[in-house]
Amino acid sequence: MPDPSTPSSANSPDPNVPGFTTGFNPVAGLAAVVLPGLGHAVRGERKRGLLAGAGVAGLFVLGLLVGGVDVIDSKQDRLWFFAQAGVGPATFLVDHYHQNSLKVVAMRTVMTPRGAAQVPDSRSVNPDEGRTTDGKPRPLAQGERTPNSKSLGRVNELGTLLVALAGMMNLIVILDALFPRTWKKGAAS
Amino acid sequence: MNTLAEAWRPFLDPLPLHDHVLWLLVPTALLIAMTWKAVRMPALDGSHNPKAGAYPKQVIVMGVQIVLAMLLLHAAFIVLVRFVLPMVAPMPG
Repeated sequence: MPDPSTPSSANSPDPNVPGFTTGFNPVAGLAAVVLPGLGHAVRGERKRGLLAGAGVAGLFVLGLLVGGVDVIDSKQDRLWFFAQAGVGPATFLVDHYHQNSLKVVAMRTVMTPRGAAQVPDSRSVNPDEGRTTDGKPRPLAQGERTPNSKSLGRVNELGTLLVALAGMMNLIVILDALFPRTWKKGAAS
Repeated sequence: MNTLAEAWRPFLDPLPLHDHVLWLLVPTALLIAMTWKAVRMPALDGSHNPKAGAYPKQVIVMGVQIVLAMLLLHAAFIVLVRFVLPMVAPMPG
């Protein structure tokens, strides 16, 4: 196991703080993008990676629990999705599941310069709708429930915000894995 | 949530927390502090700054600081909306 106090690439002393050095570790940066905290584990700092990853994963799961998968929506909440994407592949997997397994595609009438036209519209199911296997809306059968419920109001805002916070915190974790700042015991005055 | 058929499905249905969302501030602050301190502490055992303490203590201190800062901000906005703005721009009637 590599020494956690030594970055794996060339070091340069941090002129501002005694005892600190900064480095550049692209492998750790890439690992951090794949899974929160994995970059630090690759660097040999397993405990630090576990704690940072647990914090990011906690925010992510809490957001999904509070607002449901509806809080990750790359089509209807695109700007929020940019912040949420900082978590990494997990966000894209949840969004893929949401878009392709829970939403329905219905035809919607829009006005164009040539008149009214029907365009496909991807949207959440209504409270009285089910979903066919090819993604079209259908009436609910007796006793059947919708694939998911659209979150509204405060729980949607909070859920969306929590997942976005997870993404932004993970960007900090990724940057720290990519540019490790280490401290040597006894070096600080 | 009156019947079994309407039971909450984790991750598919939102939690019925509409009147209690403010309590989410506590776990949110602690999770943010947990991530931040894991990344920014030079030594997780606190040996870089023994006065500040080890990782768990610093996480709790930062979490409490975030919660208190949010409460102060909340109080400041109440004062602004209920007292300062009515003085600056009084509503007719």
